[in-house]
This record gives sequence, structure tokens and C-alpha cells, in this order.
Amino acid sequence: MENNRQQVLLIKDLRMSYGEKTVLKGINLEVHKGEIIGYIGANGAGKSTTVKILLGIINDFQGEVHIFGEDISKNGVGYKGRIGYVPETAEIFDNLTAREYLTFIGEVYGLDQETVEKRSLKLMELFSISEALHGRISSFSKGMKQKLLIIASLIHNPDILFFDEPLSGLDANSVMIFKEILAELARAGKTIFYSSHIMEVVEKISNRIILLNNGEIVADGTFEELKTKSFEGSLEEIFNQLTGFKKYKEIADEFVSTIQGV
Amino acid sequence: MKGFIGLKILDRFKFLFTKLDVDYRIMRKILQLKLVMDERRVPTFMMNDHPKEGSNAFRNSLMLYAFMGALFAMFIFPPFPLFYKMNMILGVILFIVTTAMIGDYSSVLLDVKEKNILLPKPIDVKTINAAKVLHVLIYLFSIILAIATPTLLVGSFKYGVGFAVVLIVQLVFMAGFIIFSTSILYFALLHFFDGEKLKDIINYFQILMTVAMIILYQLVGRVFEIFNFDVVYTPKWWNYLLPSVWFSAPFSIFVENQVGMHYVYFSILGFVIPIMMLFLYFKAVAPYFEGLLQKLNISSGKTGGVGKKQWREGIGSRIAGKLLGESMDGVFYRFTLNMVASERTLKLKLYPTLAFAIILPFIFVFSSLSSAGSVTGGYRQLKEGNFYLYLYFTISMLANTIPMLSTSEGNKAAWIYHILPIENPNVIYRGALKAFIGKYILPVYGAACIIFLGVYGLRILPDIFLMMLNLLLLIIIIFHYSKKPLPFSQDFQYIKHNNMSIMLQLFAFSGVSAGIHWFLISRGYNILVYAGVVLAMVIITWKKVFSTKVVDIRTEIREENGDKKDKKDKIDKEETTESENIDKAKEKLE
Repeated sequence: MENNRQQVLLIKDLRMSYGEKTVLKGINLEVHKGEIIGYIGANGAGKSTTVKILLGIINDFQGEVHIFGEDISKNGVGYKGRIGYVPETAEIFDNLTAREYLTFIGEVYGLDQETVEKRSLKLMELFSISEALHGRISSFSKGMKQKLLIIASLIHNPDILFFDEPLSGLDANSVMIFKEILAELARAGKTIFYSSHIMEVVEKISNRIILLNNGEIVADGTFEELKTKSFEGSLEEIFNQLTGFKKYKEIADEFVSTIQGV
Repeated sequence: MKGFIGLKILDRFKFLFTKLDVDYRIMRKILQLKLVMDERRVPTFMMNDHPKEGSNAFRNSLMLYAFMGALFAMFIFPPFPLFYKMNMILGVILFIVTTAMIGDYSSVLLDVKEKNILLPKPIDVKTINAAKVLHVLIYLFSIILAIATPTLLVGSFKYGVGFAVVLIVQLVFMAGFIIFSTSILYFALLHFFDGEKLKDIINYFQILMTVAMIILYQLVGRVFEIFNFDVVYTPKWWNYLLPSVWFSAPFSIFVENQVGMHYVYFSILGFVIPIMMLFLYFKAVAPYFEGLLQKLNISSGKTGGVGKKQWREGIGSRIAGKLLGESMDGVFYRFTLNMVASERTLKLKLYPTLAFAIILPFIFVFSSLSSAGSVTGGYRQLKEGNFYLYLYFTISMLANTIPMLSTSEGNKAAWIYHILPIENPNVIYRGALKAFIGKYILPVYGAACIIFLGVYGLRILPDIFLMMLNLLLLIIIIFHYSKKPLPFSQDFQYIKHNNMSIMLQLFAFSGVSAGIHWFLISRGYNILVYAGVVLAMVIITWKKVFSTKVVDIRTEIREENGDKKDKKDKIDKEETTESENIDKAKEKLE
């Protein structure tokens, strides 16, 4: 149990602004091994910026970020070898074949070619896309691309995972496989950041939910804790309440009446 | 939306479409939208130009076609039989229009996306197909008109109205020939290949077209110097296979009043074949075409067509990997090879430049020798001179391809570099450069050298070696002074922005190197000492460029993010990052 409380991520007063626009207004966060964190917030709340900072894509932030106990702005890129990432937009060098892409990624992560090839074939088989191993990624369907991104993010057995809408395009069976994989990974002590706009899924899979609004954390705790605090029944309603959004009914009414030409 | 002349002409034939059960109003709307999109699409051969926002790319390309047409129209003037001249002109027109159809129009002919948008709407298939066919026709006739009008004017001026009448009739048949032959060609390709293979083939057509355009420009003025024409034409069997011959023959009959059975046979071919194709198209091709088009959407991974080829390349790159060891260099070496080999848009820019790098010195050689008079005289002059120094043009062109390495259609996928645990970004550049030099630059240089070796023999081997070293040095310098964007991380605009200044630097460097080289050989000095110096410089600069740690690659992404914000913000931000970098540098020093 003690081991499971091991800290993997520590964020202290994280601030970030693009020019005059402040995106993050002081984030404080401590994350432990084995947690599945539902990282939610409205569009533009600062979710992707946080993730990009943690991944080292953005580095001119203020504040401190420690991953595996190392300050990422001071230490090198070594910690990246223990991180996996599925971005929201499936941008990928899609003129390559799946095999070429996975081999490249795996080898950069320091696996030898044989291991990568064995692993990628096996993982693609499990996701039932192995017949596309030698196909150009550009010819893949959306779901196939998403599966490939998931495989690429996990191929080096990372310890922290960042998933941004990882289910988009996956069929119901694959979604079930993937959710199970998440649970297994968490049991194995991996930490998972799960970012999504689909509240039902976040509610079910996460054991901790962090809600970001206007660059600040407005809620942090298990779903049960959030429920007791906000007196709302579902995460969706909690989300509405905490982001101060109540007008959805009026907007919907107006939308429908507009198309009906009233 | 503004009006189009084509549409206004079309409006007069409204009754025809209504009779055919086509919803004219909707068809016109679709067509109008397509023409608007055309204006914004940059045609294949103009891709190197920077399209200004709001400028009309299609009209500009028509102007260019008209300009080319004006060049070819000059063929009318020399005192040769009209049959030869028209062969030349119509051959060029056929070639350019066909390649334009294949290159730019493949997207229209083979468009399957439009169906996803249009078919769910209450529009019937007939209307959609009518819009498609008309769109192709408008495009085809615009190009033909642009390219042939100069000939029409110049020809009627010299030969009278008869010429104009014959030309217009022939152009209509040529248009039919082009449109039906390309459709049948696509049909055959679609029948035998799956989507990805077909896209590859289209890509090669586009590359071929761009190369041919470049060469045509160069040769146009010299064609009459190169070929000797017999005054009396005697037909050979293979002449019957040339479409330009069929379409030129009527000019001899009707304009020059030549009698000769072969002209009649040719003319009949030019009349019958397009009509046959028309029937073939509507009977055998059109009914199945749409069905086959769906193949384009099918993932080729399942059929394995591309897969096998890629697998072979995989083995090839494995050997390279063995040579480079299991180092990071090797990983990026293989990555670069795979990327360049499969990136169609990049190839479309790279291959013509490579081809031009081979051709360019010979164009200069030919123009220098054209004063020699006879072929043997020219050859003697060639052998006695130091024309192999023209290889410095090859060097400039080759070094000019280095910035292309940082461009890709999939440049947005470059986020991957930033999340990978790469301690020293130098490995990325080093692997990529090695791959690019080894696979593309040196073989192309070698090809150009072999031709000169054929002329001068092995005695120029040291010179070739020296020039190769200069090439490598130039590449390193170009790379060093570039902004060092990561491989495949930039939009194609990147090349355009940097092209002019790089070109000037390249030619300056090549010019100076060529000057030193020429000075040494003309004085009879041994160039090996110079070669030794350059070799040392290559080794030193290579080591130096890759030993200094490149500025953190992460800074790039921030600039990208900045693009979304307004410009002022961006400038502010860059200033802050700069001061930050300076701070960091200070920290390091301490």
C-alpha cells in the first residue's frame, strides 16, 4: 500500500500564458502511482496546455513540475522514455506503413528492432488490425489509426500515460478491450491521465477526477467526493455546475426554433 | 460568388440539360463551387510558387499555358513543311494537356470525397455526374484554348483562315482523344491496381510532367538546331502510332494542298480513333468506372501490394542499420529513408530537382557548343575543354534540395519528436542527412559524373572527387546556417520562404569553388592538395556542426502555438524566449 502511494508527479503553482492570454493560473497537483485521473474541463480550460507542459512540448512555463521526482525543466529528456501519449488529433506520419512507424518509435525508445517488431505485430493482432501492418497509415480508417496511436503510446511499457480522447473512432468491442487495459495498467502501478469530453466514460473509469476551469483546478477528488460536495447526480451535472454553465436548455430551445424558422 | 464565363455560356444550353433530366439549377451551383475551388488549387507544375492569398491560381496557370503556347507558336515561322511544324506544336499541346489532365485532374476524376458530401443530399446521380463531366470539360477546354490560341493567331496570320478552321476542328478531336484516353488509362490502372498503387503511379506521372516541363523550356529554342529536317517526308511505320502525326496530317492536305495517301490515312486515324474511344468509353468504361473508384478508399494493407515492396525496403534499410550500428543515427537513417520513399508530395518536389541537377550541366554544355557547327567539331571542342566544371551547377542544385528534407505533407505529425526521449537532437539531423546524402544526393551526382567520365575518361576522377567534397562541404554549410527545422516538420511553404537567399548563397559558394578549381587546372597545378584541404574542412565542419548542441528543439512548438495568437503576442513571446535562452546560456557558463 505504501508503495502505491508513491508520488510520480508533482506540480507546484504552474502558470502559463500565451502573450497576454493566461491559460494556467497556478495549478497545484500531486499524483500517485496507480491512479487513473479523469482530467476534464471545458474547451480552452487549459487541459492540453498542462499535458503539453508535462510532455515537455512546451517549456516556457512558470512554476515547478516534477516527474518521477525530477524537475523536468532542469533535467534532461530521460523521463520521456517512461511516458506514453495519445494526442487528441491523430496527426501521424501517415505515409509510412504501420510497421515502419512502430519500429521507428520503438527504436527511439531504445527497444531493439526484433522486440519492437514482435511486440507491434502481437499488439496489432490483439486489436485485430495485424493485416494492416504493411499498409500505409494514410489508408487506415479512423479507428485503425486510433488503435495504432494507442499501440505506439504503449509499446515501450511506460509508467505514465496521457490519453486525450483515446476512444474516438473505436468500436464498442475495442472500447471494452481498452477500458480493461486501463484497469490492468493501473493495477500494474501505471499512472494514467485520461482526458475526455465524454463524462459517462470518465465517471466510470477514473478513480480520481480533476476538473479544470479557466486555468484553475476547481474540483479534485473521487467521483463520490465530488457528488457529496456539489449535490449533483452525474459527472455531467457536476461539470455544468462547476463551470457555471446553466443555459443549455435555453440555447437548445433557441437552436431548434431557429432551424424551424420560427 | 462571382460569375464565370464558362457558366454564362453554359446557361444558353440550359434546355439541353433540362431535356436530359438534369436539374440545371443545382448542377450549375455545384459547378460554380467547383470552379471556385479550382481557383484556389495550385496546379502541379506551379507548386514551387508561393500562391498569394486571394490570387487566382487557376487563371495564373492559364496565363502560363498561354505563354508556353506563344513559345511553341513560333514554330510556325521557319520555312519547313507545315506537317513537321504542326507535329511539333500539336505534339507539345497533346503532351502538356494530357499530363495536366493526369497531374491536376486526377483529383477531380478520382474524387470520392465529393460523393460523401453530395449523395446524402437530395440530388440525383445524373446531375452530379453531369456536373463532374462538365467540370472536366471546362478545365480541358480552358487549357487547350490558352495553349492553342497563340498558334491559332500566328498560323491564321501566315496561312489564312483555312488554317484556323482546320486547327479548331483538330483541337476538338484532340480534346476528345485526351479525355477519353486518360479516362480509359485510369480505368485500366484502377482495374489492375488498388488505391495506393494508383496514387503512386499518378505521383510518378506528376514527377515526369514536371521534369518534362523543365526540359521543354530549355529545348524549345534549340530544337531546330538539333534536328535536321528532310524536305520530303517519307512515312515510316511507327509514325502511325503517333497521335500528333494523325492530327497534323490534315494541315498538309487542306492548308498546303499536299497529296499523298499517307496524309489521308493519318487524317482518317485522327478522326476515327477519338470516335472509337468515345464508344469504348461509354460502352465499356463509364458504367463500371464509379464502381472501381471505390477501390481508392480500400486500405491497401490487406492486399499487400505496397506491403511487400515496403518489406523489401525494410531489409535494405536493415543492412544500412547494420552499417550504422544499432545507434540512434541508424534509427533516424531508416526513418528518413522510409519517409522520403513514401512521401508523394515531397517526391514531387525532390525528384524533378534531382533530375534537373543531372540535366543542367549538359544544357550549358550544349549551349556552349552550339557555335561549333558540326557534331564532330562540337565533340572535339568538348573533349579539349574543361566542361566537366559545369558539374558545379549539379552541386548547387543538389545542395538546394537539403531544405526539402525538413518538409512533409504530414508535418503536423512532428509532435512525436518532442515526446520522444532524445537526449541530443543532433542524432535526428545526423541520421537524416546521412540517409539523404547516401540515398539521393551522391547517386544523382554519380549519375551526372558518369556521363562526363564517358567523355573525358578516368583522368577527371580527381576532379570529380574534389567536386564531391565541395558538394559535401556545401551541404554542411547550408545545413549549419539554416534554422535547422526538424526533418519533415515544416509545411512546403518553408522551402519557398528560404529559397532565394539559399540559392544565392549556393551559387556564390559554387562559383568561388569552381573558380579556384578552374584556376588550379588551367595552371596545371595538382588539385589533390586542394582536395585534401577541402576533405579536412568537410571532416572538421561535420564534427563541429554536430558537436555543438542544437538549441532545444522544444522551442519550435511554441512558435507554432504562437501562430494561432495574434502577431503582436507572438513577437512578445519570442522576445521572452530569446531572453530566456540567453539566461540559460548564462547559467551554463556559470
